[in-house]
Amino acid sequence: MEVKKSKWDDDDDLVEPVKRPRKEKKKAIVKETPPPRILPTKSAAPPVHLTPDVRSTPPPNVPTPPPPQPRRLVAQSPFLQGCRHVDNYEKLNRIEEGSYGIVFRARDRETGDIVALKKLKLEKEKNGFPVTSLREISTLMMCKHPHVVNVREIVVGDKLDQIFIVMDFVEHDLKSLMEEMQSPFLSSEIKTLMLQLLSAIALMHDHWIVHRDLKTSNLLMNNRGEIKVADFGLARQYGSPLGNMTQLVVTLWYRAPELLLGQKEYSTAVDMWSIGCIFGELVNKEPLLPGKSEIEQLDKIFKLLGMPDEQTWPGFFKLPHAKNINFAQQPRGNLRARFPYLTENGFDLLSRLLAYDPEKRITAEEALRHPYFSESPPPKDPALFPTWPSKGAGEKRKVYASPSAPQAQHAALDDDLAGSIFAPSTESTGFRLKLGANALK
Amino acid sequence: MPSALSLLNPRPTLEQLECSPSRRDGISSDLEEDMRGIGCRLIQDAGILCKIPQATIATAQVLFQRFFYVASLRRFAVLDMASASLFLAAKLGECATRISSLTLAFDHVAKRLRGQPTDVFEAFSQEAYDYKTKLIVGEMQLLKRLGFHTTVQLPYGLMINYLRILGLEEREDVANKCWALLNDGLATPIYILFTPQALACAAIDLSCRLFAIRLPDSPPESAWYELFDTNREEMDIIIGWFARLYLRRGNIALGDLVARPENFAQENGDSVASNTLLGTPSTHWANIPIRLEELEALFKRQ
Repeated sequence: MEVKKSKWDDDDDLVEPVKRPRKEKKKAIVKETPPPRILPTKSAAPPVHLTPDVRSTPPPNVPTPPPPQPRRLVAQSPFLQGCRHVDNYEKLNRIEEGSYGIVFRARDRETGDIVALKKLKLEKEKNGFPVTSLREISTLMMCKHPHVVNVREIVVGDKLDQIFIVMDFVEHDLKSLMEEMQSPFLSSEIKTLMLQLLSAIALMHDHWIVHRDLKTSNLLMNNRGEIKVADFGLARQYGSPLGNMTQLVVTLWYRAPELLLGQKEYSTAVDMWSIGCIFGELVNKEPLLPGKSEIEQLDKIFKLLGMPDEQTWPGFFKLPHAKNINFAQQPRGNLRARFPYLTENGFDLLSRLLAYDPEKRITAEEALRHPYFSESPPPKDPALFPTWPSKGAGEKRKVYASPSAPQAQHAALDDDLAGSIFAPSTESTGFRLKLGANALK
Repeated sequence: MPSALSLLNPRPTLEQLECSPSRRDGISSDLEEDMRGIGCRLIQDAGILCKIPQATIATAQVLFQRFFYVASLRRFAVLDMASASLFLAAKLGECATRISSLTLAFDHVAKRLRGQPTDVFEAFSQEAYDYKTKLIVGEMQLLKRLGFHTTVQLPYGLMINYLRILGLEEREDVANKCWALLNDGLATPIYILFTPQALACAAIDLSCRLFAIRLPDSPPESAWYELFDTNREEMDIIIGWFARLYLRRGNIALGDLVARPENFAQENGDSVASNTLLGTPSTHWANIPIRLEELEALFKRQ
């Protein structure tokens, strides 16, 4: 029975369907308990929507409620319910093991979906649940973005210290993928990947979250040309004013100079430096600054970019560790020489990402609008990316006994694109197939 | 837009609200309300003692309230879960506090609130050790039973912004009143039932009534709260909860307060209820069980 159909009834698109059907808990109506019942005033709400979440539509299938029953359908917000048991998943194989814990590949017994289970290491914890894991889980659950790895839920084992994060399984990580590839990504592909990465980081920064461990091995990639930012083990929210944060963050190769030099307060710019290093690595298919120690890391940075001075980095000489460093004067860097094939715009983006002064370093939001992404060639549609065998799923690359045909060899002479494992036929033919949804929107 | 952060507060289901786990364990709704009330009060007082920011204290109280929609007061003691909530909230709010300070503060506050002698336990005694163990287990239970959904959106910031939009940013007294109301409201289920927008609007609405400030509300279709995604119905229910809270605790009707706002006068700039409306704390709180043994003893007596 349809009574007073409000104008909200139609925009069903606001209400996202709950992804995982949980049978009995589909009732989204919140009923209030005792206090005075006031007859509802008929509210003709103006189309002002500060948040898309609340009071969207009275659900169409709800039978006419008696007057004092409020009808509040809150889309998307989770239910109050405990963690499920890990037995809901069937372990398939171990993907990797690190200091943080073990990652398994597993199958959801109910839906058959393949997922990744990350088991947290909780031994010898004196202060309850470790704050780093807490940050990892809470930031990951906050960051719902097409290019951030999707956390489905947290499940527990029989004991209180067995905690697993259930994430979508993603086939590759960018680092081992690049090791397997024979030639670097195409520039159109690099643009797509960079845009995806930047959009995810822009969202995080917009919501006061710093990742603090961006590197190619923490960027997962699926077989549909999408990367997913993962491993939020060092991520945390920051505030204004910036509180105390440890300088011991970010894997050395991707660590920003202000961290290496012991600057007390730092913020989102450290992520942007890491993105600069990742950009360079994508272009050259080798790490940009593979230092072995902190001193060597700084030395490599200075060699690449030249020594900073009062102009490029005001306040540089006041940094805690700046006095202790006495490197040979290297007024000019060799960044351009390392990237001979990068266009002017591409080079400009790279040098802005690798700006010494954190204040001047480009932000994710600005980088997304950089002209590099609008010049030719345009970013490749993710649907057109090639696929590779997945290491995590235990798939192996087919090894061909015979040497490859000569065609690849001389083709590579005049065109560095041809003969790569992703023969870019769609690009050279001058038109682009529109396949699937454009994930960059 | 799919990329928006999912920062929404988790909500309870209808059955969780209609029949809370404690109710199923034979705890009456009156007793449950009292036990929730004392838990929130413990968190508030201990938080102030430990110099924890109010936003974090509020987060702790919301987590505490949420927990008892998925778990029973008969299985988890108020005192343990209150201290675990504050411990967890402090970590979430990036102001992690030492376990020993927390347990000492909670022990002290609980004794004071119930009129017992406030002697301090030894730092390395069995009692201290038990406290610590319970707190850590409580934290894990909290996380596990809330499914790690620890997002708590609070209305304080919204309230300040709304006041600014309404041109009331100069009225410090109004802002203080709103702040105090929002603090008091933590002891009621309104943080579980309503959005932060509705809470902020209700606090502003009630304060402005107390100060006889007229808000732009005519014609009805363009009332001020519509701009903030709230409707009259929600605000009235929230104000109803406030009325109930003050009536239960201090036997003061909200109607009286509206008629004679001087009764509502606020002392020390802190929470309205805790300072002026509660009377002597020990008489009100002394008989509310905060430990499992106390609850079972109460059941035996009945």
